[in-house]
Amino acid sequence: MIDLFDVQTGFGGMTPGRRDNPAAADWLAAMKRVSIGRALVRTLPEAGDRDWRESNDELYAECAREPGLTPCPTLVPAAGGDAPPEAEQVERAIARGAGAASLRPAKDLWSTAEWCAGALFEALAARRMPAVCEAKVFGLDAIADIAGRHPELPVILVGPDRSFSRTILALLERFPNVHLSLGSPVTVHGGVEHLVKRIGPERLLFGTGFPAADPMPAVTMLTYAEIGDADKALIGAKNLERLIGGIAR
Amino acid sequence: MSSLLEAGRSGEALTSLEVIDMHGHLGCTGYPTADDSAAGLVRTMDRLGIATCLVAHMGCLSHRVSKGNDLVMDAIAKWPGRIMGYATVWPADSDAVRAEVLRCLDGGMTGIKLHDANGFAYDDGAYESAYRIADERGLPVLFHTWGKPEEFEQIAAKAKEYPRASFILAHAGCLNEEGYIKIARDAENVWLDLCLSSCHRGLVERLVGALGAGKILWGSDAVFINVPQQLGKVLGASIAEEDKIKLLSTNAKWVLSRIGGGGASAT
Repeated sequence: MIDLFDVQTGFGGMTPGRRDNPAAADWLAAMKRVSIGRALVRTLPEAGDRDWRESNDELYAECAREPGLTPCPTLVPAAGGDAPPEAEQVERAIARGAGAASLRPAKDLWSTAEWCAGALFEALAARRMPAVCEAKVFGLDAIADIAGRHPELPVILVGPDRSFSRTILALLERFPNVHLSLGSPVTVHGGVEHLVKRIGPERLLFGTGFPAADPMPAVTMLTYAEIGDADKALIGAKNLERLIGGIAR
Repeated sequence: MSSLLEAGRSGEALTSLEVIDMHGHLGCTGYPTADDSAAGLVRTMDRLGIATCLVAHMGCLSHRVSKGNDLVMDAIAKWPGRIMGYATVWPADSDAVRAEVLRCLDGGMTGIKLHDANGFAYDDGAYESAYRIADERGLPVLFHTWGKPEEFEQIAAKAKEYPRASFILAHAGCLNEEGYIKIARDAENVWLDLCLSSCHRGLVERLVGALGAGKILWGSDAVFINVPQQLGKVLGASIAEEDKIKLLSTNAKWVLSRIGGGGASAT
């Protein structure tokens, strides 16, 4: 059975109007049910999350209790006055076992432009700490700009739907530091096979899209893919292990 | 075979289940796909152990229906029993619709697919001949839907008017879950299909919980949505194993058995 390390999941957040906001226990039960061994976890859903610092603290606490969970805390540009300097944020996150940083420019009210967030990208790149970026929030032009300006920064792109099908491959081919989660809503007929054929398996990451999505569809998209077992193993867990292992701690 | 959850987790083909995909396509949707061929679809079906896929050509999105229907009939002839077909029509007028539906049925097709992306409502008068034929022959009619109340109203009225046809609402639960549940609960000859690119957490469980497993069909939306991904939502659902088999196979067999009057009264 393929080892799975989920790059696109989380808990602890809320969606206004919903009562079934997922707690860590919900995600752990889902992991157990479909045999996902490890997960890089963010605060999700982020729609109603108003306090990234408190959310980070809760995330760290949950991850400290569960060895299969690796925290992906939210980091922000420091100019708002509510956060320490960017390099210090990265240092603290690494000290608490973070495997990546969650960047939420729309939610946390910052610009992805270099004049606003350049110091954050630079601080992450200096430690080779992956940045998890929602495709629909950033847009591929911004991702290309960031990846091009900071080639040492591993960018993990999550959430591109079918409307990105014509552009996502061009981005991946052009920028070797961009990685793609295959979690919901990524879904294209023969898409995993096509991506592996064009860019290889090394920059594709297993992700589920929980809590918005059920985890099993992403599992079967990988287990039934017409690619070799070694490629499935890379996508399933080893690529994310390598990225997290590459952080300068 | 291991449990269906375990089978999906290990990528085991589901050959023994006679899985029937009630919502497939051939042709281009506007979203790029590296291989949208019928041969590629059959290869995917072989790998997953899917017995049959009912396809409509994506020409149903526009006025270019006849050429697409021809391609579907070619695929039916090349892979009999594996590929089945829905006729797609352009509602120029009722006579033209009738002629195209009959041409497609003569060519081996099984049902009718309607899509309102062409700008015409499902109660458009030009479609009456299609509904009449579906009713006379007990055919499935697959509708693209997106949770809109007017779609439910139009389809509910036609389902009542043509009780021997089987009406299938695609993309159940994309939005307005309650609307889908209501129409499937209220109309004996209405089924829901599950294909949806985003697999909303708990959707299959909620639909089965509200309706029971008998009114829900599995569809993949190949050849633009990923078939294994769509299969996963059923294999991983927290529902009984026998209900998964109903969704993947038994219910579709029942709908298809209504063709020619075999299952005239849905239960």
